[in-house]
Amino acid sequence: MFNEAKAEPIWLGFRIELRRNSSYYPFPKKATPLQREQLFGVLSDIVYQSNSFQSPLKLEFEALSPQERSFIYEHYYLEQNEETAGLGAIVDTEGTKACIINNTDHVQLVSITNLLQFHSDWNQMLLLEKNIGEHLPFAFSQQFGFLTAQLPACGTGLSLVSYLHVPLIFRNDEVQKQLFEKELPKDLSISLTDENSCSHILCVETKHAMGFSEDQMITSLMTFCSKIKAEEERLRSLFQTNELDALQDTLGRAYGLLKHSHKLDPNEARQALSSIKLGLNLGLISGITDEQINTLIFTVRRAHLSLNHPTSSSDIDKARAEYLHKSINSISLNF
Amino acid sequence: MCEGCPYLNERLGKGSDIPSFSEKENVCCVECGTSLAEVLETSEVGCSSCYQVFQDSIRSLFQSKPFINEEKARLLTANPAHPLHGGRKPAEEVEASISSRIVELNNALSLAIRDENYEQAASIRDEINNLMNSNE
Repeated sequence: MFNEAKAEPIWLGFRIELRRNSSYYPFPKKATPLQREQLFGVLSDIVYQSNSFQSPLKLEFEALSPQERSFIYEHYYLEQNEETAGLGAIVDTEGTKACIINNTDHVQLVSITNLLQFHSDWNQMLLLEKNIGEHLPFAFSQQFGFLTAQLPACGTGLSLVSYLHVPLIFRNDEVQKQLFEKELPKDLSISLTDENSCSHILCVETKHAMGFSEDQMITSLMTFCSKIKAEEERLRSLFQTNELDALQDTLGRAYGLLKHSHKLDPNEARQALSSIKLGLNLGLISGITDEQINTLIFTVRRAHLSLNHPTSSSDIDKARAEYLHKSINSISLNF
Repeated sequence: MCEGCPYLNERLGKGSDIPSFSEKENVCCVECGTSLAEVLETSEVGCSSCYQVFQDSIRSLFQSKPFINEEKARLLTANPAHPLHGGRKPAEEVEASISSRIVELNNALSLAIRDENYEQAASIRDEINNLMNSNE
């Protein structure tokens, strides 16, 4: 997922989402399956002709198995829908870009990117959006901006999420209070899902699509996340000096868990992987790259695991433990 | 209070021409059939025409619900004609702001230094300096 190019140890990456709707059709919930099918056909033709995606792949949700659908939802952080008729996605083979027609919007462009590629991927997304808009005029009003089925999403139609691995901020209530209560800009919010909290991944997201320009939204997110990153770096250097013993103990336990467990639930696995990632970044662990650890954090999730590593074991926790045994085989502790 | 005041008429038992709130909620979009009651309850509309049909109610929703930040909501209350949308228009080209580009480059710089790629670090530093100078 965030394993492309050179990984930034703390700032893992971004999810950019742009919602658009055509003025020719009712929004997906009110459209007939036939209308949605027509739209999906037009949309995929545009994406294929635009060369925006590397080896694009057209996926009709109705034709996918429930397992494959779950994978797509999990991978691109999409809302799960029961309704599938006429809906689908065009994805690139790298798994970083998608153009989706879902239950709420005609066009949902998603890009999973990292800090170094953010601007180039954002510009590519705008280029594709412009291309789609030339063939399929967007529903737009001067007053409400780009129109979407869900009112909070209209305006820019843009939503940004930034993912940061900040295990030491998660341990420090005082810093959390300062950052999340006092310094958090009003146009951003912190999302703490169980899944991400276990792996100490902080999700900072834009709160409003209306009232700001796209650039203001990007700048606000970038500036605040830089602050978080700097704070985590400060805590890391303090921690390494003052609490080396505790750190080594945590790393040893995490390593033991990943190496020898018979069963591992996703949260346990992600928590241990987070500790390994911290140890690796602080030079206390070797034999694995940051990119590989990032990949593991995301691929131990249920749908990724069952699709990428089909196993005879019906017990997914057992399959997860086996997968991790193999994946961390080369790790060694440097203390 | 004027002679035709609907509230006075109502009190005097003469009825009113203005639909009550619940009657207004039954107004539907002719294109997709979505009613105002649905919009108010779910914050969702059925098609782009709904934005025209329910324009005033949608503006009020934006003022009363946390769909925009407090500052923007205050501006809207002070000036109802204040535009809600602050972003780009279809097909409009926008350049990335210098500040967000500087944040991005600073992070690229720290990565280049971490990897001891000093040649790349120097070129990133020059780019940052150029941007800072052009921003002054």
